[in-house]
Amino acid sequence: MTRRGSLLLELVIALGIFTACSMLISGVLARTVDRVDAARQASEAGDLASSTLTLIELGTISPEAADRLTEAEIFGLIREGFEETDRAARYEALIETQPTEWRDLTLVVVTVVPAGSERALARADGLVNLARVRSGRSLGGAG
Amino acid sequence: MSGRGHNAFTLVEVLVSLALLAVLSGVLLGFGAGLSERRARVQRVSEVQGGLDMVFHAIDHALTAADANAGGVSVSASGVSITSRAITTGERTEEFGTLSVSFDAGTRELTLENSRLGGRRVVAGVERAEFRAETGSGWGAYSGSGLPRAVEVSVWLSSEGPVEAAEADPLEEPTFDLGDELLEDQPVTLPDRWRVFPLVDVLGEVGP
Repeated sequence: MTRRGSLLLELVIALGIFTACSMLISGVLARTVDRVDAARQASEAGDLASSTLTLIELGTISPEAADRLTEAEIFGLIREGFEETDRAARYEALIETQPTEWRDLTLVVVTVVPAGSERALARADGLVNLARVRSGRSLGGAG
Repeated sequence: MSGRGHNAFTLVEVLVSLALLAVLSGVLLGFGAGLSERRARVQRVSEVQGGLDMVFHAIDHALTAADANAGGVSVSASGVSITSRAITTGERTEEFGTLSVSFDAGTRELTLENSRLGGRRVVAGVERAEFRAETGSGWGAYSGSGLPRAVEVSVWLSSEGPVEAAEADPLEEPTFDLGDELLEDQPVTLPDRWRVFPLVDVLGEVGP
């Protein structure tokens, strides 16, 4: 191999190493960004699930009326002058209700999914998972 | 001359290598700058979201033990103050103290203070934050005896990041008034973080 040939080979190897390292770092960074973004989405979805459940408990909206509403529509229920923006349809709330053996109480489960998807991001978990709602107040529609 | 010519690089080789070096350096510098910027953005978002998670958790926790007889809950457009009840176990009484969360529009900071633990946490990079209470007759400021039925916290994040130290006035006290000026002055858009916290007695007495 001539000297010029070996110089070209060295250059190609150096470029290959540089490209591989760049792609590796980019991949790690992209995964980190994705994880941070997923954590942010989970927090926002959890907030929406808890807020929706609270508004149902307050009697502001019935479970039936709240089903399939986006976060912007739910936020607009209690905020006059709200201006919907392009990012209005990030999430939507799915509401399931079941009758219980408890008088005047309804089991409500709120699940938040990305708008237009069925992939659950968050549920109203823990103490508020099995929400108890006075059926007499909750069936009146949006207040 | 002809003997040296075989060992030396030609002008074209030198120019090509310099051009390659310049291109590679440019790519490397651009990549490094982009990497640094993305890393800083991820770190900023992570810190703000983590701080807001902690603030929301603290408010939720304090509201579950809010004591109407000890000051209860005060909500203004720019802050919330929650006094939690004391718990007595045998001869030992544990004062839960007061949790205050306030927003300073000047420094764009959300400040959490816990009188019992003596802790203070500042979340920077908040464009705007609003607080409201639901009293049964609507949403707004709340102060007085009893407890509201729910507390709403809305947070809009700043796209510009935290205010630099030189811009902030260190002598200015955080605002904590009971008016609704902030709610009236600015248009309402969808917040970046929004949550409605219930108080424990929302449902009142329920039973089988």
